[in-house]
Amino acid sequence: MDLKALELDIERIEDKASELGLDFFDMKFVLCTPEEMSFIGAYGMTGRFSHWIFGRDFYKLYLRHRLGLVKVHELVVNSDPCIAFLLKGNTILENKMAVAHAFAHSDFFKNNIHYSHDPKTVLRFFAENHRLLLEYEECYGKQRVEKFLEAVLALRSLYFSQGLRGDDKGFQRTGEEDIYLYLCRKSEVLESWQREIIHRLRGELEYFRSLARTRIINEGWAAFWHTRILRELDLPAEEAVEFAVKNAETLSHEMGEINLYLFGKEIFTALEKELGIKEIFRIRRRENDLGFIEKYLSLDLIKKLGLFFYRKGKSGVREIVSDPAIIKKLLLRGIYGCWHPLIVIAEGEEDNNELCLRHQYDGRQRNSYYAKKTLELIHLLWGETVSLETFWEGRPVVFIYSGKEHILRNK
Amino acid sequence: MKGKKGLGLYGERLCIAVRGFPDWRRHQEILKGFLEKEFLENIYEEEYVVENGEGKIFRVLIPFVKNYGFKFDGAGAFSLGLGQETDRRNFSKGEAGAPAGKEGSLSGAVFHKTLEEFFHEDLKEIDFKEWALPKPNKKISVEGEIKDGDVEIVSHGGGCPDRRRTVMENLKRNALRGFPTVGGFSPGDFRYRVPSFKEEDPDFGFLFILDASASMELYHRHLARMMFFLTQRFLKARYKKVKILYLTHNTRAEEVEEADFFQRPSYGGTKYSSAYELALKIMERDFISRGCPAFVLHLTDGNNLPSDNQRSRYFLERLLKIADRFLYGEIFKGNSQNPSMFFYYLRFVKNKNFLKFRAGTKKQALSVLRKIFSPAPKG
Repeated sequence: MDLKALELDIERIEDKASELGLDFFDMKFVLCTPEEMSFIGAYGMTGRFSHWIFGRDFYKLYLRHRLGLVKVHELVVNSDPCIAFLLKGNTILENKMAVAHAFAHSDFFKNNIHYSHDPKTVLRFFAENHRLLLEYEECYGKQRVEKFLEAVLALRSLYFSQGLRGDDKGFQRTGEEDIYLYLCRKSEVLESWQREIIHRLRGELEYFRSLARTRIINEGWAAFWHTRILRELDLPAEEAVEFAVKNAETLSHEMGEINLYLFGKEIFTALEKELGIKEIFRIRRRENDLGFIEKYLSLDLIKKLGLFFYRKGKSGVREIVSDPAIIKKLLLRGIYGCWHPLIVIAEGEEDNNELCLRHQYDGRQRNSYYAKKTLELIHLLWGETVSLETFWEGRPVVFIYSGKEHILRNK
Repeated sequence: MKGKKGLGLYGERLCIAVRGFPDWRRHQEILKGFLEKEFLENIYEEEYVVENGEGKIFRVLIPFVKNYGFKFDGAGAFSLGLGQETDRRNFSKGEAGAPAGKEGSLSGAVFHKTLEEFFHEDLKEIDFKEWALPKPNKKISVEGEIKDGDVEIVSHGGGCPDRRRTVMENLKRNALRGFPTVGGFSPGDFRYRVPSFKEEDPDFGFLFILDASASMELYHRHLARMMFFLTQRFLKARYKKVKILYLTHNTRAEEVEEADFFQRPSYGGTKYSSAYELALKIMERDFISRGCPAFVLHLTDGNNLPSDNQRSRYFLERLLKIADRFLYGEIFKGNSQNPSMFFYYLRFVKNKNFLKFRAGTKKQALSVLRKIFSPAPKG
C-alpha cells in the first residue's frame, strides 16, 4: 500500500473539509488489521477493560469479518486528537471515503453540545480503568470481579434509558434518575472498591450513552459530508465510477432494516434545501437524536423515505404500521429510552430496605426470563429484596427476588 | 487552524493490544461449565449461513453465553424498517424460506461444540445390554417354527416335493372323475415347496411420531432427536427383525422417510389428533394386519390446541386398543416447569399400556429411556 499517496489524500480531504466549513479536532489515522478492528468495535475503545461479554462480541465480529458477511471500513473514537481507524485492506477510494467520513464525525464530536466527557483525557480514563480492574482482580479474585462487572453491566440498559428530561412530551417519570449513584449511596453490601468500580463504569457508560443518543444525527451528518466532500474532490474517472457504486452500497438497505447513514443523510439533505447550509450547522451543534427527529423529521419526509414499523409473529410479519404520525410517535418513544425498556426507581418504603423498580409500561412487554435473571444480578449489588413492577400479558404484576426465590405477585 | 496531521503508522503508532482472544477463551470456559451442568437456558445459538468454497451452502450453529439486562420481548416488539410500499407487500407475505443444505461445520475455525454435539457426544458409550423392550401382550413368533407364510407351494417344480399336498391333489382329481382313490399320478399333481421371497414379517413394529409445529424450538428438536436416535440405535442393536416407521405432524400429519424425519422445518400449529388418526391407519396397514405387536413413541412440547384435546383422546384410546405400548413424552425447556393441558387431560386415560413422561434435560431424557426399556419394569 502506498502510504505516501494515502497521506496526500488525507491532506487534500482535510483542505476540502475545512474549505466547506467543517471544524474538527486534530486527526490521527491508524491502519488496522481485522482483528484490531473487531477488537475496537466490540470493546468500544482501545484500552477498555477485559470481560468475557466483550470477548464474545469480539469473536462474533471477527468471525463475520472472516466469513465475509461484514466489513468495517472505519471506526472513529471521540477524543482529542480524534483517532480514526482504517482497515488495512481498503482500496484507495474506500480509504478516501472513510477519511472524509472520519473528518465529518470529528467535526460533530467537537461541536455538538451533548457530549459531556473530556475528550483530552478520555483514552487515558479507559486505560486507567483497565489497569485498576487488573489490580482489583489480583486483590479480590478474578471471578469475583468478573461477576461483579457482569452485574454492573446488566444495569446498562437501565442507565441508558435514564437521564433524558421529558417535560411536556407525555413522557412522565418519577423517582431517582441515576441508578448507579442510587446504588452507591444506599446499598449496604457494597465495599469501597466496588463503589469505585461502579463510579468508573458509570463514567465509561456515560461516554457510550451520549454516543448512542446521537447515533442518527451523527451518522447522518458524516454520510452527508463524505458524499459532499468526495463529490467536490476531483476524482479520476475510474474512481468516480467506483465511488458511485460504493456510496450507493453504503447508503443501501435491505427490506426491514434501517440504514442510519441513509436515514440521517436524507433528513439533512431535505433540511439543507429548506433552511440553507448555515442552519444545518446550527442543528448539528445543538440537537441530539430526540430533538433532531422531533423537530426536523416531517411527516412528508417519512412518507418519501418509506419509513415503517413492523412486528414479527411466529410465522412471518404480523403487523405493519405505515401511518406517518404513528411512526413518528413510535420512533420518538424508541429513541427516548435508547431502545431499552423505561425503568425507574420507585419510591420504596424506607423501613423494609427493598429496592423497587418500576417499568413504565407502554404496551411493549419485557422478556420475563431476562428480567428474573437481571433481578438476581441486581441482588448482588443491593443485598436485599429487589422487585420490579411491570405488566405481564396485560395485567399489572410484581416480579420479586428475595435472594432465595422468585415470586410473581399480582398487583 | 491546521493541526499536525499524520498517519500514525510507525513510531507514533497507537499500540492496540488485542485482548479479544483471551476474553473469548474465558467465554468458552464459562460455556463449557454451563454445558457440563446442563444450564442450557443460559446459552443461545446463532446461525451462520456460509459457503464452504465448493459451492455447498452450510448452516453453522455456534453457541454463546447470554448476558442479562432488561429487554423487550422479541416477539412483540416493533422494529424499524425502510422500504417503499410496493416492496412492503412482498415483505409482509413472509420471509424467504430457510436456505437449502445441511448442517455442517467449518474446518479450521475454533468452535466450541454445538448443542447438537453436546446431545450426542456420550451416547456412543452406552451399551444396550441392560435395555430391553417391555414384554408384548401378544406372542412374538419364535424362530425355527415354519409357518405357511415362509414357504410357497408351487406346481412347476424347482424345490423340494411336498408329498402330502401331491397326494391330496391326486385324490382331488380322481374324486372329481368319480374314483376317490390314490393312484395314476400325472405331472399336474406334483407340488413343490420353495422358500418364499415375500418380505419377512417383522417381529414387532415401532412408530415414531414427532411434533414439527412452530412451537418446537431448536432445543426441543435437539432433545427429541437425541431420544429418537437412542431408541433407534437400541432397537437396531438388540433386535434383528424390527420395522420402524416415521411420522411428523403439525396440524396435518405426514408419513416420512427416515432421512427426512429431522430435516423438516418447524411451522404451523399443533393437532395431535391428525397424527393419531394417521397412526391408526399406518398401524393397521403395516403391523396389525401382519400380526406383529407395535409400539408408539410420540415426542412433543405439549402445545396442543385446546380444542383438539377431546378428539386426540378419542383417537388415542382407539390406538391403545391395537398398540402394544403407547409412550407419550413431553419435552420442556429449562424453566417452564408446568405440564401442558393435554398432560393433565391424559390422567383420564387408564390403560396399563399407556405411559406418559416429561423430560427437560439430557440427563432426564436418558433416565426416562432407561426406565421405559428396563427388562423388568417396576409396578
